[in-house]
Amino acid sequence: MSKGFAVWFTGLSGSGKTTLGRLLEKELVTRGMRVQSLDGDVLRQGLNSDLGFGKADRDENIRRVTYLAQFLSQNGVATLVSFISPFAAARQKARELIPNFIEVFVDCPLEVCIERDVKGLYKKALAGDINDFTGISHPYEEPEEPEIKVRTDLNTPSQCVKAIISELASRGFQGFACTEVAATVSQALDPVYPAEELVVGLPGSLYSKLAVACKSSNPADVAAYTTRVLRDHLQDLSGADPLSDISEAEKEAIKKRLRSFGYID
Amino acid sequence: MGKRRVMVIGLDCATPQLVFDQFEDRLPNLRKLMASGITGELESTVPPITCPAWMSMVSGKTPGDLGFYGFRNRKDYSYDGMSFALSYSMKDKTVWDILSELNKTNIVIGVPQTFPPKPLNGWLVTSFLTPGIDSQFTYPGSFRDEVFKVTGDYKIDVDDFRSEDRQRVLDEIYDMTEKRFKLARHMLKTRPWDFFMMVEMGVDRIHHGFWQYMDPDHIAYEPKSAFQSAILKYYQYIDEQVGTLLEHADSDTLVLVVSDHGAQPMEGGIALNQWLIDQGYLTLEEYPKAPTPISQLKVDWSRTKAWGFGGYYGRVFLNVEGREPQGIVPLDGYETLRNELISKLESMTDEQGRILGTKVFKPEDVYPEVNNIPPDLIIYFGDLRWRSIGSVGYPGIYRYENDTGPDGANHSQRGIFIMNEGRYFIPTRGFLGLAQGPPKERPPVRLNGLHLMDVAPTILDWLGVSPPPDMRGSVVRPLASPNQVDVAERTDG
Repeated sequence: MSKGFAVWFTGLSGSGKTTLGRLLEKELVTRGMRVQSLDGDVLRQGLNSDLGFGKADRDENIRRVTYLAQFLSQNGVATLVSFISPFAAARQKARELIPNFIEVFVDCPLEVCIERDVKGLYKKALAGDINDFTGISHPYEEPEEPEIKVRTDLNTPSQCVKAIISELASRGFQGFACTEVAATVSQALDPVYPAEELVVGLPGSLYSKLAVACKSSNPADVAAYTTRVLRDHLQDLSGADPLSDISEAEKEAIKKRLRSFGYID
Repeated sequence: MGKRRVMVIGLDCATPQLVFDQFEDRLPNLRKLMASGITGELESTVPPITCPAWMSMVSGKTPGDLGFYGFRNRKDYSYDGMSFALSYSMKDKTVWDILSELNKTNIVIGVPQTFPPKPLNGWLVTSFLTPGIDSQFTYPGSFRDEVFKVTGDYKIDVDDFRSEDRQRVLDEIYDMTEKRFKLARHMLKTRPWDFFMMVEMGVDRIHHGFWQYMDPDHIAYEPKSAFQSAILKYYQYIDEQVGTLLEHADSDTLVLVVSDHGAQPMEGGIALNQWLIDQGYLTLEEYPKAPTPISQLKVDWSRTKAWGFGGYYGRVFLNVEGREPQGIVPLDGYETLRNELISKLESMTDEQGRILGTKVFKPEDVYPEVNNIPPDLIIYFGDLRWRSIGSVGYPGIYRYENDTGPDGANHSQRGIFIMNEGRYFIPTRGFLGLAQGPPKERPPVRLNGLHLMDVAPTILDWLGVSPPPDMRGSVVRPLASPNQVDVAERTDG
């Protein structure tokens, strides 16, 4: 079983916690990890629907989530928590209870969040229609020493996720399938791509293909086919002609046969 | 219960009227499978051609989903930008891709569109779309040596198929088939496997090459030909070979014998571009003195509304303003022109004035999704009893021999589907493997409405894998009672 951990996204409403959580979830799933997301908005509709937004209720909200994340992380699940979690003390409590706690400060200036206003909440809060709104009428205590800080106003979501993956990889929280594959690929392609770079740099969607290519017991085959998977990926990205590695003579031979059987004229 | 496995024996072009009717009593092994199994005609793709049909079968997707519509596809809207649909074009997952990820072991031999070979958990030998045995035609690459060791020199396909030396062509077909089945037996015997699939191309080759000797109604029928029973004898040979593979099935092996399309006698060819010229849709700068492929001719694009391609079916492309480099068909006249062409093509007659029964399809009408660049129209001349000829320079539009040489058959829309489980055709065995008695009994079931795309989900279902939701086919479940045979509601229309 791979080692569990909890990535705790904290930040203002609209800073990008849910977006990053979803992207990270996708990446980790394709890398062979068991993942559970705990999203503030979702939990407030279910488990925490009895809670409001005052200090006591916010603390209770976080206490319950901490409890869930603790169990999940202990049991080998990659747990992604996306909560505003404005109070340092509550996050500190979570840090103490949850094994392998990784705090990610989703940093985005308030004015950018107001401009984004994805849920239309800032507008209401500024108009005074919502009380206790974090950043407007309720404090947000910025983390002092988060494991990771990402600026979502300066970087794209995928750049932020890459930074998180990189941090997770350096802590060995990648899931065995992925790191083993990366090691095999790296060995096959040595010395161009170190395994750590592959783990961080390749999209998770490639891992299932690379994992299949790594199953062969013959190192030459592994090298040939992992190279092919990577090259196909690059060709897909660049829109290059996928047949460029088939020689003209080979293409002609195929055409000749197709013509001979009447498939083409 | 033992370990569930799937064995798919693909016979390219094996056709229902021969397998289920004319030859049935002379094909003991297929008959054994049918006697207690599920059989039916298997609806092919539009068009019913090797590419895209096999990939549609092993992925449960339409050609529109897959984004290739034939061997050659437009890669852009230029006049000569064509690319071949080889393994790279196949972006969707095949059943063996899915099974590989689940650590199941696969043996895949000769399935079209697998060259260049892509990694899988197991072993793969590419198909007839491989340039030759000097190219890399196996996965893993090192497996190639073993293929040569087992088969001598593995035969990808028949060379010089259009030769007048029919005996040599026939000998080559047998040679190819023998080697492929030999390799298949070797693999089944020496490897562990969860999924086995092979496709034999010989059936297609023999139909195209020898149908006219068998069928008295064929336009080129030669009575008392030495090759009169060539097709029957070859089917019997294939049946024998299938029998040798069935020895490697056990009671929990699901066996499928399938084809990608059927066959029918070819009546002739329609010179499509010639017809477009006659009708004023296509203008050449210079008319050729001898039949010449359209790609070698200078087209006056400023006076051309449509051009076409030949093959077993026809394709028409429109020269659309703002889309093609020198397009002249205005976008708001596109639909009108397509409808006009459809109406003219469908009312085409033969030289005696009888309606040919031509069918014309708009891609968006036959595929729920249309990816990449499809032809603007897809044509079955005489419902595929006539092929499409792309070359220009014939005295008229009707041809009674192929532009590339003699051809006895063309494709038809339905292939074959035969499915059974080992327990219903393998004798039940008792303690120490001693034969105890006949196989379990079950009445045969004949199913209507089967589609190529049902094959992939059926394979996965038998192996305990839920078919991905984007597979369009339905699971065909081999249950004990014929009343329980279940073809779930189809979603592809």
